Amino acid sequence: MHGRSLSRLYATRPTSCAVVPDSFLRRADPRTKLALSILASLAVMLPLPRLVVFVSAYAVLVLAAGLVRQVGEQVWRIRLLLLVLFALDWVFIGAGFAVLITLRLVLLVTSFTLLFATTTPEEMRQAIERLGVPPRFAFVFATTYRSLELVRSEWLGIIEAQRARGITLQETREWSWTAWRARLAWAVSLIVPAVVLVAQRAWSITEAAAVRGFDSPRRLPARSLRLARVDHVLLAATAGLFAGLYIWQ
Amino acid sequence: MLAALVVLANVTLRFPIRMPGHSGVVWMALLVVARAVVPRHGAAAVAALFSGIMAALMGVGDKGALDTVLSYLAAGVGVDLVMVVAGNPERAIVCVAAAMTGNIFKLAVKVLLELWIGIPTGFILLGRLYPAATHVVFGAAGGYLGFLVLRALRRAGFFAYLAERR
Repeated sequence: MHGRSLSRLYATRPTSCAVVPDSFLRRADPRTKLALSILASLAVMLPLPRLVVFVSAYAVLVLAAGLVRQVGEQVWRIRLLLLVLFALDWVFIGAGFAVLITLRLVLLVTSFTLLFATTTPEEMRQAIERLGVPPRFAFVFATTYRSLELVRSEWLGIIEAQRARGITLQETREWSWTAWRARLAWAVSLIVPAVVLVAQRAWSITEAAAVRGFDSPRRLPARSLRLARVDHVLLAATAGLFAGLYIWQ
Repeated sequence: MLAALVVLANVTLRFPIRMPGHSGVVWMALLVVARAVVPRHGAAAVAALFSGIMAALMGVGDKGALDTVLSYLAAGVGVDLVMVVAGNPERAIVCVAAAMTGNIFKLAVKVLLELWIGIPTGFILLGRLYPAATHVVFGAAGGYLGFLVLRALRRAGFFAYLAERR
């Protein structure tokens, strides 16, 4: 494995998801946030004047929720694409169209920040379950997320063991058949033990869950989600905004 | 658990090639392996969806969470579709076709999102022509890698071990 990737793997802390702790959206139900994110994504279909109104309201929500940094980071990642698209659209079609496409792209890229930057994996599991996904799948999701750190350390162990045996990837941009065979052989030597370890881990978890009565027909969730006042306010405000935009037509 | 492996591999395990779609080599290989290890329709799609949600929670992906989740899911659906039609993942050609389709589906999601927001088709065609070609090539490489991994697992008796546990 070449140095940059290895240092990235050491630096990765998979389970430390970037949830904003002091955002008021932390108190909102994940289903409400999912609905808001979907509606914000659908708003890209609006024509320019109404889109500007919607984006302004969206910006107020982002500001109030303390998600400016998260949204800013998302936009910064696509800055080059935004600049190129804006310039091309302006030159070939017009300034209005360039603004429209830029706003749409920004909205689409950042809309789900409302959900993912304010929801913990456990809340996500509860939401998935409440949305009608079988509990088995929701459990698999939560367990997998919690196991990321474990899988990462096992993956590191495999890489170090292979390095000790002299199995490393030479950093080369060569496009010959031999170079590609070496790359694939190196990847096989990493993936095979990782798959075996992960499968063993999955079996252990399945057995532990079965022993604890996971498949019991009388199984009840320990906690379930309920819509609070903040959810009703957010949903009503969004519905009001869309109704207003529709009437404005 | 294979979904966890998909996310970690995507974050960290990259070949030192600066070309669009190259992440698909290890990614598609893992999806092909996931579909072979869990021989049920939709297994790759479920693993892909979970890895997509986890990646979005971790802030992975340069075009937002929606693009991340949909791209991951589409890759899994592509792999599953070919496996449903072609059946046996023991043949190299099936693995290659499945991974190629998965990698192209991943790109297709990006193109569809771009079309949806109204970017002119000409710009998209121009911008996505070269990535489409590289996605096919790297998808095929990923499929072949998946085939090699499956062959190694079979030789090591992994599938016999799984059958015994079931």
